[in-house]
Amino acid sequence: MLPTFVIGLREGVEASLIVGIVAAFLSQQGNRNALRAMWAGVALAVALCVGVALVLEAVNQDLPQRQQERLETVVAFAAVGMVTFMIVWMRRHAANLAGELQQTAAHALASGSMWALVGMAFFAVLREGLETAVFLLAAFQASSDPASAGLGATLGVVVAVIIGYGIYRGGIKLNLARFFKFTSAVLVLVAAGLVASALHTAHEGAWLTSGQAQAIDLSWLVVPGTVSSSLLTGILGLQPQPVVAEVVGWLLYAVPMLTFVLWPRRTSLSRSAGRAIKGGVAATLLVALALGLAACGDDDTSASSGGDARTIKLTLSDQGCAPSEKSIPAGAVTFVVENSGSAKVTEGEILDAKGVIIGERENIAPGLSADFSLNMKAGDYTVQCPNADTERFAFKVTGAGGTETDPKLATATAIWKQFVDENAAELLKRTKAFTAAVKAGDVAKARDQFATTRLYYERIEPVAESFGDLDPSIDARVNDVASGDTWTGFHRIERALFVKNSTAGMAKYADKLLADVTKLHDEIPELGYQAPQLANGAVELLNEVAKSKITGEEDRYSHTDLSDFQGNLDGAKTAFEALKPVLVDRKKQKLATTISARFAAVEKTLATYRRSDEPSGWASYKELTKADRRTLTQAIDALAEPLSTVASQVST
Amino acid sequence: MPNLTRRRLLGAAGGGALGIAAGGGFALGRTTDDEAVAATTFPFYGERQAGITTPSQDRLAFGALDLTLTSAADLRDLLRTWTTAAERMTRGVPAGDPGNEPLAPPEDTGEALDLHAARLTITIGFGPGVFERDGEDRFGLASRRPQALRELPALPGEDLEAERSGGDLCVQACADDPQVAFHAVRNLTRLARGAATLRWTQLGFGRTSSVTSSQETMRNLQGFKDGTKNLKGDDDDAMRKHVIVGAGEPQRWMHGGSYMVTRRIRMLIEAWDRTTLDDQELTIGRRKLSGSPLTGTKEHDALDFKARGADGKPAMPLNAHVRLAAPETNGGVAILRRGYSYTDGIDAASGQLDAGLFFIAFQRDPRQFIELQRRLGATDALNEYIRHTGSAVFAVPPGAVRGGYVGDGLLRA
Repeated sequence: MLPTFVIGLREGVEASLIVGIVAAFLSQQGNRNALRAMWAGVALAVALCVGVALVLEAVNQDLPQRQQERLETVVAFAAVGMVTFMIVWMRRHAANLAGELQQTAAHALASGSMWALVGMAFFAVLREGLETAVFLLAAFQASSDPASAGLGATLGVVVAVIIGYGIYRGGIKLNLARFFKFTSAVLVLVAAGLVASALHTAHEGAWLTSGQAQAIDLSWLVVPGTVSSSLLTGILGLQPQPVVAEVVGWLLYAVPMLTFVLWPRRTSLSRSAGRAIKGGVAATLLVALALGLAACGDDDTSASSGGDARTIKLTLSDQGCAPSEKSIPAGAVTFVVENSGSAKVTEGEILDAKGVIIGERENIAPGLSADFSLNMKAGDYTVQCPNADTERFAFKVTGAGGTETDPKLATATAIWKQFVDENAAELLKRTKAFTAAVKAGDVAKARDQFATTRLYYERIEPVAESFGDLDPSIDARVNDVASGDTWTGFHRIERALFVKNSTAGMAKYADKLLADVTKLHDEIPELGYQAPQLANGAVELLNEVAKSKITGEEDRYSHTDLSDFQGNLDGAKTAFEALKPVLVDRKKQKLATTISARFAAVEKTLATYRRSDEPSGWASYKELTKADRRTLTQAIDALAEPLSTVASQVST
Repeated sequence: MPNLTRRRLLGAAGGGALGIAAGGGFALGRTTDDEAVAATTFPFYGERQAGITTPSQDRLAFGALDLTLTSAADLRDLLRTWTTAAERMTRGVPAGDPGNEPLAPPEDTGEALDLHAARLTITIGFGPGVFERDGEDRFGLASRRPQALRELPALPGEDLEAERSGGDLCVQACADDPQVAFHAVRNLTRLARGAATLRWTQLGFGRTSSVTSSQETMRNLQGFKDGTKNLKGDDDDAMRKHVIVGAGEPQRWMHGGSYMVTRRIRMLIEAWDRTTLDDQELTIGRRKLSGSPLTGTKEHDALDFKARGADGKPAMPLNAHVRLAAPETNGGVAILRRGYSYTDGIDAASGQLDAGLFFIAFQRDPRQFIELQRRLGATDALNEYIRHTGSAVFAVPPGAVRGGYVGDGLLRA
């Protein structure tokens, strides 16, 4: 929001200053026709700018991904060029800006040409507006939240118009020189960020392939999902793990420009220093261009020697381009792209897990073939053929070469492991107390503890289910087992407590339950987890809710289903929250936001059934009408649907 | 040619009706024709949404949804998503990736993968709730509500069930293959998860209306030819006069659209089946076997309201269904019917068949239907054998152009 605010404010002040002065002259003259014409001109200019922005945006939307990345690169560089020009121009004229403008206006008046004034306002707004449009577009593309970016731009323009009006009325005496100097410094940083993001999109658009090694790890500073990270990435264009090309580009732009802008005016720069700065800026652009050109001629990532290069065939057809093998060991591989006769599908690409094209052949006419080679590391890749009925096919590389493990994934699984281990410990503790009450014949106490003990089981249910035999013997319902004799676990005791109001004959089931839970507790710390498991586990937990809690069949004697419901939800949310930084890191902010909002919606619905006077903390499930249950199911379905797409985003 | 699967043959048998109507139904070369019919597609993009004036297909899957989203922007997103998916499905292409990502649920649910498009049309409409619910302007769209779009007033002869009535959005999916139609509703519902929830659905297993002049009149579950005098979708003058919203509508986004009224009309089948042929024909006003009016000899003979029988009474009883429904006796009011026979198993309370007509009508203004139903519901002899159990009304916007989405006129900022 801040970058777009600054852009809107800055450009807006310039434009409204000129319009304000022209308007003042014209109204002094009492020339209403010219005044009207001027406002019409301003409106036309604004409309033109909006039109240009819309066209650019529309063109961008329709392009295939790679071309889109390339257009974004071009737009970003154009924006950098414009803002650089503006900063330099402003630096020269900041001090006597208003004075100069008044002189021009007076000159126009003196020559008797009202239309010159009208034109001046028109072109002033048009020029600032076009700059704003191009610059904002680039900022929008770099922003993860277009709504707040739009708000920022609007606010900036509004404030600018107010300032302009204030200057016009003489009400606000702004130190224009200082104002422009400050905003110039901010803009340099914003533009440097744009250079970095342009180099990033240039890479994704396959223009730039050099300098892609990770330069530094800033993830300690830029923690995804935090406010400070939004500011740092949003304003300075800082990525958590920038690559060499991005860092070099950023520095080459920011350092000379900042020096130029912040250099004290009185000790003005020597000619040679000024030339050096210009040279630096030019060099930045040249380096970027050179990198890009180099990239264009460097489509063949040749296979490294060593090991037999295998060949994978991609046969293009209207339907798709399924690879001849879906999984290969790491190493050198040659892709042969052959067009079996499709007029519309003429391109085959390999994308890495981040969606970056790492190899491709295009414009392959029907009947022809072409090949390219890659040296592939283990991981998940995608074979893509634009315009086919099915455009994307999964492709896996396994084994040696080693999976690159994202440290954030390790953090996520560690959080989950701790959660599971802690809940297993709490479950054991409470099961001990619960089974002791059962064995002591204390029906009331056992009943009170039933739901609050199960809560900890429900939170980690998918993990418990991974031990094939333990879940049935702990959690089976009467209709899950072959005969009544083999029915053990919580629900066996539940029926005695809540239907028969007795613990008679339950001692052996209490012992068995405690033995099973102890075994579960002892085995759980041995388990390791992978990120997709967490995501799938979260979905399984919600399916548990939708399958058995909603119908009320889970706790059919005690009607404490809502407590189990909460347990499942706790587990699912913990797993998701652990993965959320990974999603944000991988530019799936929108997905993460959607899921968070839907968790909140479920929790809000559920909260209406909290009852502090009940031992379980929840209303009896009998209280819920059919309509209530339907509302809950729909909220769960709405949540589980996007959640089910998380696993594929967090694999490797 | 690809191998014919059993399903395709079944679907093709259903699609045969068109072949018969068009070419007289030669048995020879049937399979090839049917393959061609099954592979026929109706373009999704166009001036009007398909599924109104286009020839009616054999099967229906209908879904009415309640919106749970909270802003016009979210509604716009939903309609964009729906438009993309619907356009793909009507081409016979999966709504999304049908399964190339092992770690993600397939985007398309897959049950239509080996099937043809089967002339699938998907028609989307807005219920009154989009503009206002309980006096609340939910999405800031109240000012764009067309005058004509109101909840239907209480009408005679109805016994409506709330859970089979109303809805903020509707999806009418018609195809010659029931699985293709069901697949469309299922996938659009899935894409709407978190934005809208299903309120009710209805499957229709057989078309009861002919919508173009080349289509043969079908029989409804009472065994009568239904809709002989239906408006024809290819009669452009009639469509403009009775069905398609014209330039006079102040809400410009509805120009080229239409209003859909649906009524779930349960037939009291057991009672009907023990009614004598005479009584059945007097109730409807047509001969059962030939479909001709009681005052004529052939199906398409004009109705003669003045003719009298040997006993001096009107040959067409004053309360006969076709008489009361005819435009001639309704000041010229006519509607385009596009209904389907349905069955939903048995009525748990009585053990009787729950089956009948899922009536769908398109008109320029729902008041056309209201006017007709006021009259029919009050005096139609047929009322003894039917009961309206579900009801809904939707504003069906014009078709989307490529690059746009259904309803973009309404939601354009």
